[in-house]
Amino acid sequence: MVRLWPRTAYAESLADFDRPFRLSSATARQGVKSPRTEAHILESSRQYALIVCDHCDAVYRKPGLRRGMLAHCSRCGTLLERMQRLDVGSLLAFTLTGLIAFALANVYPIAHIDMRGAHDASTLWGTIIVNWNDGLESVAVLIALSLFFFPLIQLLAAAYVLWPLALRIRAPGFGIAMRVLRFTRDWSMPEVFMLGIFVAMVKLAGIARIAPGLGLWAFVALTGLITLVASFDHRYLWDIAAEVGE
Amino acid sequence: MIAYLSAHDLDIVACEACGLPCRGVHDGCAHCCPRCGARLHLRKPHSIDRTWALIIASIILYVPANILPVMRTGSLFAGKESHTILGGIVELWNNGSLGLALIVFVASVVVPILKMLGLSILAFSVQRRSRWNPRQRTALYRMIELVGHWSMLDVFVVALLVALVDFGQIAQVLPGPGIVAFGAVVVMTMLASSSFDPRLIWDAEQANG
Repeated sequence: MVRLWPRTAYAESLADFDRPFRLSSATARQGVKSPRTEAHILESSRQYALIVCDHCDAVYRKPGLRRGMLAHCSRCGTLLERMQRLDVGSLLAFTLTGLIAFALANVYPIAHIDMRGAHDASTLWGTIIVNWNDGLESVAVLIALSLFFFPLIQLLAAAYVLWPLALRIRAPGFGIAMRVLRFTRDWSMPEVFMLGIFVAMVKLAGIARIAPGLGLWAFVALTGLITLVASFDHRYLWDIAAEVGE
Repeated sequence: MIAYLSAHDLDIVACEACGLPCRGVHDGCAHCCPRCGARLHLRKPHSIDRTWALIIASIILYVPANILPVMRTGSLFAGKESHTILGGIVELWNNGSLGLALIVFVASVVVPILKMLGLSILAFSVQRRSRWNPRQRTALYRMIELVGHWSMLDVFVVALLVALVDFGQIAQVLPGPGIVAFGAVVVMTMLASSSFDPRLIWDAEQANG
């Protein structure tokens, strides 16, 4: 039962069709034992590979998507799998551009303020340091992590994973880098900061002359690029890594 | 209605990090994913306990976050003033930035309340083994995950104002204790939503057939 929406395919539930056969053949092929654990890889063959919904635990056969298609779980509606429109090369290009935007966003001031002749400009690290000195150490740490360290680590880990993959090599420590990526993408928030800059500028507009700095535009670019880089499906990269080999 | 097979029925555990379906994982025994090395769990450990603990902590902290001032302004012309989160929204509204006031209201009032309320409903219904509308509840969880970090907006705004307006006697913005409490609320609700396991919603459905 495949319901087709434009660009959306509903994955088939295993229960829908030849359930006993698929299951027995699936169990027959399992048994690749890992040296570290007792856990087995259920399926190595991509054709018959299974996919499990993250949110409701329903099991499906991999839907076999074409580029730009999405598969949603037909039971709970969660995104099961996304076939990237972008290939590894373009993802890598966006990541590297993101690193350049990140550097600019940190070097140049975010905003210039002019108040009765007194002038000031603030960079991201300037903001962090002022907040630290004003007794807001916890907020300073929160900002440093969510706007500097996590985005930086996210971009570096993405580059580390993607660059070798583009050359059909699997980077050493691929699994660890992928886990780092997954963690940092939940906790890096340049898009929220960007909105915050606009709110702060509007709040100050009445009492001071305020102009956006180069750092602000770099942040806008960084936000777009990080969103693009973070949108890729981890399973897609694992599939490519499996093709490339150990 | 279609009968769905869950991974649990097939004795499969999907790796939470890379999605690989694995076999031979049992509770009470540590296993790592053979592909990416992440720890495998049948369900997230102590999911409901942790979620409740973090929700309760964030509800308690939400009170000082709204009562205490998030920033204090002082200037030669306007004198000293304290601002709370709601006060800041009212000020934006009165100055004519209606759209922005609405965005800040959604990010710092609606989203945190939605998260605390929504996660409480989810945790409570899972504890009761409720079979009520699991698809809608999963959608609620997805929405909570999606909007989670936007409530950090106010923390960033205050931090930026503190850094930008620093002219000593002429004008100065100083942070208030409320913003620390508010930041803690945001972090704790984010941790709460990541420690909740939505598969528990469907386990009741599965158990009853």
